[in-house]
Amino acid sequence: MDAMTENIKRKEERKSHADVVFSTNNLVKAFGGQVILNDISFNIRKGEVVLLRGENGSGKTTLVNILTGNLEPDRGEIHININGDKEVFIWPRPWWKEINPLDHFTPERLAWEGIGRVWQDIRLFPTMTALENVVVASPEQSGENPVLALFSKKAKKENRQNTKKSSEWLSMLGLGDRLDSSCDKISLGQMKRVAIARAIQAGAKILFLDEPLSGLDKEGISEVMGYLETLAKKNSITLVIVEHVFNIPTVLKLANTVWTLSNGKLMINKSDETIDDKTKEVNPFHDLLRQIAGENGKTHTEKLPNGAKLATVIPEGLGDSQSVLEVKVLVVKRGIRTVIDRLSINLKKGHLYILEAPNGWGKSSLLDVIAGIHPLESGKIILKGKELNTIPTHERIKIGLAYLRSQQSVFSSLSVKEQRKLSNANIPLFDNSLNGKSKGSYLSGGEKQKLLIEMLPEADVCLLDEPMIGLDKGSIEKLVELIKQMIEKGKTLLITVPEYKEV
Amino acid sequence: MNYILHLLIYLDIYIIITMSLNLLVGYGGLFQLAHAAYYGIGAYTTALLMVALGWGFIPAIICSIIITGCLSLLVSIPAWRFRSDYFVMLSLAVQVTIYSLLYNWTGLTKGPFGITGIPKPTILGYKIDTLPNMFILSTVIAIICGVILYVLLRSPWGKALKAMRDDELAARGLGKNTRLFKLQAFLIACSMVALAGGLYATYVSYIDPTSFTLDESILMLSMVIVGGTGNFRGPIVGALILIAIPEILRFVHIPDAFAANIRLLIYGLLIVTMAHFRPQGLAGKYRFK
Repeated sequence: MDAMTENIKRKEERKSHADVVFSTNNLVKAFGGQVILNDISFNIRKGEVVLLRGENGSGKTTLVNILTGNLEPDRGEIHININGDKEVFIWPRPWWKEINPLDHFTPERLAWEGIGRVWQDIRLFPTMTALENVVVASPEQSGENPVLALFSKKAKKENRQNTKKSSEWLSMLGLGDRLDSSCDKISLGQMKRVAIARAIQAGAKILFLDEPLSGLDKEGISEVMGYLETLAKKNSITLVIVEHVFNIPTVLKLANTVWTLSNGKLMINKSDETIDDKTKEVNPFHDLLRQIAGENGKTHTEKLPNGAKLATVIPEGLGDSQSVLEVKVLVVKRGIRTVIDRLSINLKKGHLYILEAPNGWGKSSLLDVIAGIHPLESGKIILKGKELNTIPTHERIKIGLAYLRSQQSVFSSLSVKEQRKLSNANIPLFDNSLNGKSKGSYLSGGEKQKLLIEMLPEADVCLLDEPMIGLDKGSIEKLVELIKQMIEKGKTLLITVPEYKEV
Repeated sequence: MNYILHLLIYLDIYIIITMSLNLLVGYGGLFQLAHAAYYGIGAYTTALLMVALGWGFIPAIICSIIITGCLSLLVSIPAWRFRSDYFVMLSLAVQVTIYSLLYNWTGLTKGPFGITGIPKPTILGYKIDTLPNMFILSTVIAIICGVILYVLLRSPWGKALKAMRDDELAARGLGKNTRLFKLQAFLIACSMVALAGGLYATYVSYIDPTSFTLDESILMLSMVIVGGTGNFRGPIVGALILIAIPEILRFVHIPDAFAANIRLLIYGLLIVTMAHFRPQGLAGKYRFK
């Protein structure tokens, strides 16, 4: 009986081992002496859905960069066995491999093995249409050889087939009517879907997705999740999803394994073992409204055109106050498309405003126009009684405006310390969690966001475009505290958030 | 009439040059400043083979294309590693080096004295020694180059090149071998400019290094930038405008001492104005960053 059980066990082990398509052994990566990843070992099986989570700066993006060939580890092994041909990479690499230009650990080499990536900042090819973005990703095209491109009929036929297949992928994703739309003119949700379709068209069997749901409204989230589910269940594509704290509960519905990165170590759990306080439903905007309004404060919501809502919080003890920022009959265009059509809002001193709108509504465009980064078509913007229409951005900041953009653009070649000095941000707001010596380009998404929040100048009116993007739970609490303090000081805040059901 | 034909032949030659440069700058995002040097290599190889060895036009042109194609590795291999400003500096170094060789290797190129007596092209026993015939030849060659580039840029190769220009890392993540694309783009562009060089040498019958200086590279780049990058119309419009400017100035009766300077001043002003008001060029599509 024992022998039989052992036999079954061995068979199961063998079967389970046969399903392993990607594994690592003792991966180590350090930057400037600071160990970011320490002895990372795991196996990924075919069709597995992994949720990768961790605090800001825990090394999630570094790990994904290594696993997709964008960065080499200092030590360790990577084993890939997707197409039946086993490929092994071992570090440190011997010198003769280092000088061989055909044997490098590169993103294209891993892509040929069947590893794809969807970037946090999407990185579509902006001058191409949605369809071209997907078609160009097709692997092993004869037409990529210039001689065959000129003379071979097979290359032309193959190109037609790839175009057909790509339009089918896009139609499946609900983008059948946007095939010829330029990729810089479609909404964020559509961009994310095009990026996923592009990676699949490139032949990805293991797909790493860096925050695929961030910045999406509820419709966008359900669309992308539905598609990911189809990929995992019907197409047996292995998914590794890095996701932000707000969206973890959504991803957990699909994930069967959870990786948690903490202090350079990776903990691996089954998804049903990880329902703890970190993964419970988080609705930061609801909390924010409640906290700032206080027991006797007032909140009211005003409906704006095209499904947007502007929630106003009037803290307790503060009645009707004077206007600080007025937007009158504003019209904004992006190219030939009218993004904002005759919008009027009036922001008052000491009030908090939360603009909740679906993606593509024009939230970022509105803030860009108020800050003078994007021109307005018609209308008026008045800050503290002064018309801003012809005033450049730096003058608007002097008048009393501060703006946190959602692009997380820090100065890449300056250190955290230098950037703080540049903006007179003397007090670290996030408990010294940022290393002062780190250069901007080495910061993770969350760390960049923290630095940008610290660098915000003192101003009467603060515009915050999706300020919680990339922040972990602790940092969000800090940010809420900061917003509370600003409101107490009589500042006016306009915060944009993606469409969120409960607000 | 002869004057017009002469200008049209020049226009054809410059259309080949700007189309090939547009392949690198507009479609590949590779800011090449050594194009005049490769134009020079094409011209000198064709001229030397025809004058010194007595080769015919077609074998000399084919040989010059092969040699220039091989020498394109001088810029394409550094382009694997270097991008933007660093690549510009590198291509500048290649331009200066090749120009110095043309100027100082007197044993081969006769240095500043140049090569004289380059025979007119002969194709299938038919000597092309009149202006109308030369115009037909240059137009046919320009059209063939245009068709080749048109087909290539609409093929998956052209799309992959554009993807590389837009976001090289994302393209590599999709399995595109961007090093190979750079190598091929330089090979095609340098081969085409060598063809233009050979055509120029046989048309004017005399070449010296002053036709292949850095100023010439800048003029070629100006044509592409003023006309517009990333599509077919742009380089043609650019070549037309920048060839027309000095010719128009001839009729304004500006003293010779100032004419050249005024021409440079106009080029400079044009580029600054275009960069400010219309970065994608007059007829361009891609906004060069």
